[in-house]
Amino acid sequence: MPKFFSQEWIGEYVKAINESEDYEKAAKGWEGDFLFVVEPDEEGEPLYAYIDLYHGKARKGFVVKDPSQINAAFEFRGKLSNWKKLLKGEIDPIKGLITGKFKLKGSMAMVMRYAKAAKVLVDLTKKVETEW
Amino acid sequence: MLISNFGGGKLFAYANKILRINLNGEIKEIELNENLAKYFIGGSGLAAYYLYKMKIYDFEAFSAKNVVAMFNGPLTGTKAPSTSRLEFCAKSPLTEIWGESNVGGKMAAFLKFAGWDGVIIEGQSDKPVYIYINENGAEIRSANGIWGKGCYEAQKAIEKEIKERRLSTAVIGQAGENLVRYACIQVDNSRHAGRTGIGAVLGAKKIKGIAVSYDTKHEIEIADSSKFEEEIKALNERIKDNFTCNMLKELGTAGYVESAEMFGDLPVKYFTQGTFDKASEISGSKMAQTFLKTNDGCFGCSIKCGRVVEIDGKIIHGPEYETIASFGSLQLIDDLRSLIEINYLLNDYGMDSISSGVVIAYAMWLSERNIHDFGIKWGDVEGVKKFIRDIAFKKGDGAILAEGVRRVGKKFKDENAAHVKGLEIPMHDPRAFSSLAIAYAAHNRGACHLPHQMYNVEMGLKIKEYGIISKDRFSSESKGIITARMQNYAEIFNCATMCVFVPIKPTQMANLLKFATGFNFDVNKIYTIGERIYNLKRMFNVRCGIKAGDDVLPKIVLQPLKGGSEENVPDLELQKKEYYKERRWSEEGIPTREKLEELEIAWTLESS
Ligand code: SF4
Repeated sequence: MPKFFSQEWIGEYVKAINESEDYEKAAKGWEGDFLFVVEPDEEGEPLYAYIDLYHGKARKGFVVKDPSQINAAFEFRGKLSNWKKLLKGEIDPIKGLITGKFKLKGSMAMVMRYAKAAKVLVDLTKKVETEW
Repeated sequence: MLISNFGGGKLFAYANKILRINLNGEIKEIELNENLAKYFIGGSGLAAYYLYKMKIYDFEAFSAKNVVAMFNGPLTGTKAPSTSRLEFCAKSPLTEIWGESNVGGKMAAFLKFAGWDGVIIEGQSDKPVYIYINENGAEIRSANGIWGKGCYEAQKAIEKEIKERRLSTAVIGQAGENLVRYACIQVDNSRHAGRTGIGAVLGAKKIKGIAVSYDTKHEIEIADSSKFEEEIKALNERIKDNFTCNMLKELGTAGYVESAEMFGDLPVKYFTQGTFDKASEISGSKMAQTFLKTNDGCFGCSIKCGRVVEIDGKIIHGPEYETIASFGSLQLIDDLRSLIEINYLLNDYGMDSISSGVVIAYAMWLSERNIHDFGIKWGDVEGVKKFIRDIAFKKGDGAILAEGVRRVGKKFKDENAAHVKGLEIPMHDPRAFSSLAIAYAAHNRGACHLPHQMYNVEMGLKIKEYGIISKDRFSSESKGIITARMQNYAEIFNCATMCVFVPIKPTQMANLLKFATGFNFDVNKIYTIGERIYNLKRMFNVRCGIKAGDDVLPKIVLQPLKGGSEENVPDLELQKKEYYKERRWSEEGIPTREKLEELEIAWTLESS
């Protein structure tokens, strides 16, 4: 079982995205790469992952060691405990943003417009068995 | 509580004075009583107290005996953000119960700067007039030459006549003049006291507008200004960092359209369809990428959720979420440009966009079912524009629709009129967020999403201080309890007065009020005040004949739908039981004597 935000996990997740018709439909016009950030709940270092999403597909995805090397159009960050809730379906990305559990950098217009695509992206994480 | 008269002494944060205007020319100044300020704070709390005492519940909404109150609050005009909010209150001609509508712009602040906490308007004029208020009092002026004009021109005409730099105007359009039951009041060209038809009450009184200016600014004294400012600093930081505030600034309230559709919260095709695949064609995101020029907002607000758009070289105000949904998805109109044009017409004629959107969608629905042929079909933009005009001037079938959905439903013996107590259902769906069922059914002004905003609670907003937490947006369990609590707390926004979009915590709200007024407020005390005001308004409605049987939802919003609401239907009966129990109301929906005594408003039981 791949560990959350490991290279193996990201690889399987990218595969799940690219196999999803729902995502392809919901994110038909989407253009924008993401830096996802998992902040530790207490001590420790943050985890980073980069995924390039384009017209309903993920063009590439990898674990990031040095975020200063990445210049993504969007950044979505939150605490590990909130990521767990998100992946368990207890909150969805828009609710997470509205309630301040996640922070977003990048075009608000794009993200709000693709609210459904964001939800599908989260739903797809369920296809990846995850070790926390 | 001993409140024997309207008199009082000098108070922090308040202007200490209320203006009482009778349209027969009698104008009085009354001092604000300290007890009243402590017990009802301001805004719709104080207005409810005065209007109850004046027994306006006994009279017809269009009669000379109805009274219009407009109140700001103790935070208005201070440095506290987004507090230029004015509460217009009266008996509603649409619902024939308690009516209130909250509006932004500059007027609330300017009224305070002119030295007034509120204005009470009585009587009826036989000729068109407008009221001009400044620090010296009020003047009733002729509105000849202004009567008959749309809101935009009327505002310009009044501005031209008064020629004051620091001026704020509120006007009605032709809809208000012609007593369309959901006529609104337009403030400062862009903001609207939309709900419950108080624009029509002004129309019945022959008041075309109200103008407020000040020359020397009334100095607002703050009880503890350093603590007050500290609290404001913390709140401003919170606003700066808040996702929803940033979303409102960038995209306006219509930034929520796509998310609403995803949750099943966006009403579609007169509440009968669960999805709308054109949502992103009419959203705030789309507006930002097309017609948007800039954003603007109410006096002293950094969020600035207002939209300023350009269309054919003309700069006008753009529609917000409720208008986009009630004329867009609800009527299957998917063209943003048309919605901007429709919004302009509604503003100019002065009609509440929720009520008019719902009533026109109902006409489409009735026509489709051959119940009555209004000659209008889904998505018919030109037909909609024509109906807006016909409603404003009560021409042809427009005269039927001008009465609101409840009366339309009655006329055609149809049970699918989307309203509660006569107020049209707004653009949030109880099937998406279950607690909206009881929130609408038992709301004091009928189906309304404000100020409680239970959809936020269903999306994860927690107010732990009052145990307001929802774990599951579809479940009905405990929703009666949390809704009652949220409604109590939310009353404070309309008293303070502060915009409901401010992400303030109860402790911050209590502290702001405490440091501003010097009154010993805390989290529990402000909650009790909110509960007191909520029950006072309920007692007003009880006097109007409201009982448990009126706390219901129409069946049109209780049919399961595919889409984001996942065929959920809220259990209103369960919620209602919990709600009455939490409120300690009888099975008939009447607050018990014990409850009223606890809230120190048992005097509402005295025979009138
Ligand atoms: S958030 Fe919008 S409605 Fe509220 S005070 Fe600011 S501009 Fe006015």
